[in-house]
Amino acid sequence: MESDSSARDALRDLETDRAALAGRLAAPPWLHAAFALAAAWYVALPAFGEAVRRPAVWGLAFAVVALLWVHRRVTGIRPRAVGPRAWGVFAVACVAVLVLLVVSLGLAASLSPWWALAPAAVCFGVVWWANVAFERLTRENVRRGN
Amino acid sequence: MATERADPAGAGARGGFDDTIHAPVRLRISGILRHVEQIDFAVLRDTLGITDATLSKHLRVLVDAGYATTTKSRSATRSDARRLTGIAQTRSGRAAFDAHVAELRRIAAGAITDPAPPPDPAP
Repeated sequence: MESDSSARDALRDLETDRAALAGRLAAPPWLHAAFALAAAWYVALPAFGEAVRRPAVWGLAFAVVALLWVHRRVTGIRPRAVGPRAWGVFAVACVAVLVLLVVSLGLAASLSPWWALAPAAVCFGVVWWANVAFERLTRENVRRGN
Repeated sequence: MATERADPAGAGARGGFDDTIHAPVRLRISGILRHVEQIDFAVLRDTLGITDATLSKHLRVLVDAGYATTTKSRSATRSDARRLTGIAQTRSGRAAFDAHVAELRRIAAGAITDPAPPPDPAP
């Protein structure tokens, strides 16, 4: 019913399709920038008064959910598994954002509220890098067929 | 709205080899679905480089076999009645695909290709 060469061809086709699927998981750069901006805004919050902070946190939560929805709509794909290395990058990014928030709070309390913008700028870069790395590792995971 | 039939318990399967999945396009569709929770119809079509009609035809076979489900959702960018179709693999579809690929690997490695013949009826 099946020769070993046609079986090998079928397996090779599956591999080619996985590579094509991985290529389609790439989100546009503006989406990475939007996630990074949301995280940077969170870290910059100590620069603002209580009246701004509370609604801003809710606005950020809504923005992140909306961005995840947009990401799904733009790529048209929800991967089954991203792999442990991508989750590792996600965990590192979460810890980095929290550390930068603490630094931001410290700077705002001890120097001037506007010093909070410095760790926010660092946060923008870190989260942008993390987003790109998370996506690259997810694509590798799909390409390898894990 | 999701459409899913009951698992036909490997209808068309011989050992790990599954005739429903084995058709080249259906094997490729199943191969893509194996790695996604859900994928849009248009993205799947473009990834495989096939026509709407071809994808619809083979998808129907997989859905009827209980190997895939389709979900309709409203499009955010369209004001008419057209809707987005999301496609996912069922648990039985994953199991059948994994068994089929394992069989293909066994064949590719040079093992015996034909399934065992049915046993003779008792005298």
